[in-house]
Amino acid sequence: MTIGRGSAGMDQFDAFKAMGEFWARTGLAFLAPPGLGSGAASWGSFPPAFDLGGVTEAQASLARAWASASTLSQTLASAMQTASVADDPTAGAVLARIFDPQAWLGGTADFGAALNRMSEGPQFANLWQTERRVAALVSAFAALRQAQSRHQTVMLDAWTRAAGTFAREANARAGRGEGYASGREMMQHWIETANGVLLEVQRSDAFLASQRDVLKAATDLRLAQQDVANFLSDLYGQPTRAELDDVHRSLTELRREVRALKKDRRAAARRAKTAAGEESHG
Amino acid sequence: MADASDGAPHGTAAPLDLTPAEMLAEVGEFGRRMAEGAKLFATVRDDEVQIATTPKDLVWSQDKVRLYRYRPLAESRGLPPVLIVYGLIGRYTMADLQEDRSLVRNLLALGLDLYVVDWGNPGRADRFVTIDDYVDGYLAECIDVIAAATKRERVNLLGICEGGVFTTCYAALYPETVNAMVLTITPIDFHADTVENRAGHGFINVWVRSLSGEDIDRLIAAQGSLPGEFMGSVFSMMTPMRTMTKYNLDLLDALGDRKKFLNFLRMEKWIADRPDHPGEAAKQWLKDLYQDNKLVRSAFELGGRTVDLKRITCPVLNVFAQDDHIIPPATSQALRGKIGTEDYTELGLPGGHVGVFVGGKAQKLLGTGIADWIAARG
Repeated sequence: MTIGRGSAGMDQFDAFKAMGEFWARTGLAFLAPPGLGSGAASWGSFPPAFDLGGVTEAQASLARAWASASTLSQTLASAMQTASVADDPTAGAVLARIFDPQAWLGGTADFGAALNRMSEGPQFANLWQTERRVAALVSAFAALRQAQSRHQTVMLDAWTRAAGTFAREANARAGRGEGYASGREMMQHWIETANGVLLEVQRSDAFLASQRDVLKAATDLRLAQQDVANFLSDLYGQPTRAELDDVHRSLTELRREVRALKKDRRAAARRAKTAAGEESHG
Repeated sequence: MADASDGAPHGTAAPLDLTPAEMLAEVGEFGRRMAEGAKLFATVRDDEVQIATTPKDLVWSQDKVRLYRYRPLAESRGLPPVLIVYGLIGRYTMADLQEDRSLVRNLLALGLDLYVVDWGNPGRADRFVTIDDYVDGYLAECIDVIAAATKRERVNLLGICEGGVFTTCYAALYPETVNAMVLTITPIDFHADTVENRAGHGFINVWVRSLSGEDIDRLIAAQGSLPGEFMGSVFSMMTPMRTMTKYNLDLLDALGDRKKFLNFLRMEKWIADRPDHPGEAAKQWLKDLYQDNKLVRSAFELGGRTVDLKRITCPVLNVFAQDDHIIPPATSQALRGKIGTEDYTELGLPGGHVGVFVGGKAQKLLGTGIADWIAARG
């Protein structure tokens, strides 16, 4: 049996292809997006499966309805003013308010908006903000996939080089009439060849640059996720990551101060003890 | 890019020189090992893979940090106590992996009074803890406690890896409280990986230098820490094919021998127990030390003071592993001539970064080497 495409018996390259995939997975596993922890969601579960199209359609419908209502409101108010209260600005203003559709949606504009935020959570305007953040998230996700693809290309290039080297060496052995005593021995030869190439590749500029891009993209994705989480936390009155960080920073600083105070106190006690000893001997 | 077809067949002999009968035997052997392995797995009990089992007592704690004193295993030699200081990447349990592979037991058996500091498991809430806190805070407190408990003005320090950097900084900041310092597999010159430039050695140095300071800042901002799992991945990349084969080929080899198999499991247990590195401390570790190489230049600052290596006046034993791919020997040996004492000794031991602690030959040499050196400076 020889090593190469189209050889009789088991196609060694099937095994190599499988190894290549395994190898590529190592690159992928280097940073398991979207987080780095064991609890990080898998690729399959991201982005979250909610109906963005539905929300967009709902917002478009509302916008259309809002535009119709506003036009109607202005037309009505204008017609009334013209018809009966043209000389009375107060009456005109009252009429304008009466025909303001916003009043139907939640009372006065200022108070109603504040009340809505306090009691009902996000408004549509906020939802757009959420969507902008989600869009940034999706974009960060796409950037990570791109960076990973570039990194995989570097890795697969290296794998191809290792496979070529191995095949050449194996066939050279065959040419000399030397065989592998066992499958394990052949595997060992592959492992050593691949290891050598991988170690060399890992120090190459191409590898370091593409891996750095993966790290940066994974970090950007994580930060984009946190931006969405912070926005929603704030909206729903939950502590944000930044607020928790503030608390943790304060706690660390307080601990530092307590430690320093205790240390000073111990040093003072030691000095006092030494001084007392000197006095009793003096 | 090389083409795999470069190696197209041209020979006459078969590279895999096996007859169908031999192939069947090989497959049969594989099946037998798997069956034996399955039996082994079924019989292994939790207490057989416990690590860090040498008896010890909690003597002090603060926040997540714990200080333990080991119970003696031999008559005391009356030497100043020794504090073992591990780093934040990995855990101190490596020094006490199992009864017959334990630096801790070896030192106790040689009559040393031994303490160990356990940094605990820092979480996201510890993001703002710095190396200043570890060295000038917790470590200083531990030494104060030990000195008070043993009525000694000076203690011996035994730093391991990043813990060795901590003890080096401490010895420079508080030289009057250190009797002698043993450093093991400790990086001092973080750019000295280029001295030998051995293939597969010093990848972390190369990798960290390929990042910008901003990359690291953003990573920490996003994660709040340098996740242990992340560092585990970086370590795995240093032995790429080994990482890929250890849960199949290596494990298969270990399955044939119960003792070997249990050793494998204990080591895996230690590897899996990799705490997150607090964020701000990680930034100092990666940026100030790995990137800017401030320690060897005596430009590293802690608690508003410069860590001047020349202020280290205690005797120093610098132990390195001759085949250390994580901390290349030259990065440790760079300490020579940089400190303020002539009593400087180097001990190069066979093995790698972890092997020097758990390898059969090296760990015995390490224990006696340290104990004898300390005894001579008691």
